Amino acid sequence: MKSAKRPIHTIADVLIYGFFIVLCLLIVIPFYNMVLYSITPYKEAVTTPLSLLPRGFSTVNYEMIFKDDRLVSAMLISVFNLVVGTAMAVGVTITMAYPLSRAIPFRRTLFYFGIFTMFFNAGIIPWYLVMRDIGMINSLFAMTVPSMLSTFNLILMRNYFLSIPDSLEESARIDGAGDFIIMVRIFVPLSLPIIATIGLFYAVWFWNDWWYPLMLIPSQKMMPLPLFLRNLVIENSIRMVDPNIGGTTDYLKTTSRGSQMAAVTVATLPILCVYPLVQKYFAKGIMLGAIKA
Amino acid sequence: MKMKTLKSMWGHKALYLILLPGLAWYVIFCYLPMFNTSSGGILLAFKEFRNNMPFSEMQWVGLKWFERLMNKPDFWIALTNTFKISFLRLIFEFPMPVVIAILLNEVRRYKPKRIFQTILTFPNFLSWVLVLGVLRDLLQVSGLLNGLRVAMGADPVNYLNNSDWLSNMLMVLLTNVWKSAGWGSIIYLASISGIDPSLYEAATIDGAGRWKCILHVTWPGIRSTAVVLLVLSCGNILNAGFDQLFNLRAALNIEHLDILDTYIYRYAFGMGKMNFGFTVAAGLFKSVVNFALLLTANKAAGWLSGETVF
Repeated sequence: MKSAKRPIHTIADVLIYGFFIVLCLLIVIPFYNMVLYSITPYKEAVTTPLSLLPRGFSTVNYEMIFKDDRLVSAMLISVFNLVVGTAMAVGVTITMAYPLSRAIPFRRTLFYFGIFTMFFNAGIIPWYLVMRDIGMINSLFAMTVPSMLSTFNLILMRNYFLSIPDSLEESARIDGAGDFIIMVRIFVPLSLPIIATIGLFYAVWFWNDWWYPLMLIPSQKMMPLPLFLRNLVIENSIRMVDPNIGGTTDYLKTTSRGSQMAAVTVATLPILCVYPLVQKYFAKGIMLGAIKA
Repeated sequence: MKMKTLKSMWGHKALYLILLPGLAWYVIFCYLPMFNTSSGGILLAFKEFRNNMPFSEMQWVGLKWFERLMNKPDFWIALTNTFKISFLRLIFEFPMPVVIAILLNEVRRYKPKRIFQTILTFPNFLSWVLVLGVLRDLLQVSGLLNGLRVAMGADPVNYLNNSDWLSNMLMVLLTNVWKSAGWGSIIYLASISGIDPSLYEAATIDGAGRWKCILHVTWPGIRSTAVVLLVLSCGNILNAGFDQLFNLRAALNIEHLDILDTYIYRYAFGMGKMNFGFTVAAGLFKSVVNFALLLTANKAAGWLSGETVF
């Protein structure tokens, strides 16, 4: 590393490390606290004061939430959104970004056609009326199709394509390859870091989105996980209480908080597992994609 | 159109063909809501909305809804809240990613740098529902933070439902920094990695210490990125963070946290559906002002630093 040649001041280094360690603790502690609360047995949660030390272990909260059909079906719907949505979104982003990165007539106009929507939109009512008219209300695809394309990801993708040398395209053309073959055989394989990056962005978006379902899915049966969690944690309009366990209202109240924490943990876990794996692509992907944006 | 252009387009017909799905998406999901003859699009702002009546038969009402908007005190409250929150974000949240990126660049060892970066960027990938789910347990009356307050002899405060302006603003700013500041630094780190390392060597030979290197090499290297992002944030002043504020609102803090977007949502879906013309007008007002702000910020950035986005 070239930067190692720069001078090292020990005090400054200590301060900088200290700064980041404190910041990281501020982020890690709430997650730790959440997991801890979700596995704390009822009795300890009520009787002992709050602390960051473990107070026993119990899986009752997790057993309870997975007994709830609503949560299980919400998770299945979210998995469907994630898989189908991400596949469609990445596909359309690539096929739109590639032509916009080639020297074709009107590519600038077409690009601004997309960019304009980042800064000017119709507003929710006109949008909602169109969604209603094209049959999106309570449709399984209402949670993926209307929110499918992100102009930001389109820009990242296009800029990455632009950074690939033209000579590759020219030599393929001499070998007789057409535009489509060049895109699939040459440009897509060379763009895997950015495809992984925007794939993660889309996947996280479909896993997290509660707004489109809130607008377009009034049916309780089709509620995806984020909306379910919103009703559970933010609105408190869903209670996860199994009448078979426990008796007093006090007990019900406490476990509902514990089960909330368990549900949030379950929803966070997939992101936590996938994120570090994809993170290594960010460096390459974003850097080339974003600088020119 | 020139023959040559047409010829070039025909030669690339495969490219136009694969462009179609994306283009169709933009037309259906972004442009049809703006302009269409069946439900009216943004022109609804100038009509008297009637349910089950075709758009063409609805009565034109001119600027009635805009006048009503201007005469509503709660609209002005929402508008001032939007500006207040956005400016606070520009002042306190905007510099955070810059600071994090510069300091992270000063962490020389690869491994701790990776670990810090992974932890700091992670919360950005959770939705506001999850973030507040995670932070709720700290902020509520029986939460950790209040446990600390009580231990120090102060009264517990419910941060999540509170009528104090300052406490609400702190909560809004701090939770957003918690969620997004680390991620925001990625783009600056990208710019820093583009700085020629020989500049640091030259500066060191000239006797520059660490602080001087930051000031005269790192900062000039990321200044243009900062300007671009500042312009984009200025174009977003009226947005102020719907996702966050919609999930934070509670009975006592609504007067401080009601912004334009939550205001529009409230009138559109919260109070019966007869307010369509009014809310379309509010939305149109927002979009137009937003767009004007963006163009102004772009021009201003051009004058000030020679960098523009568009």
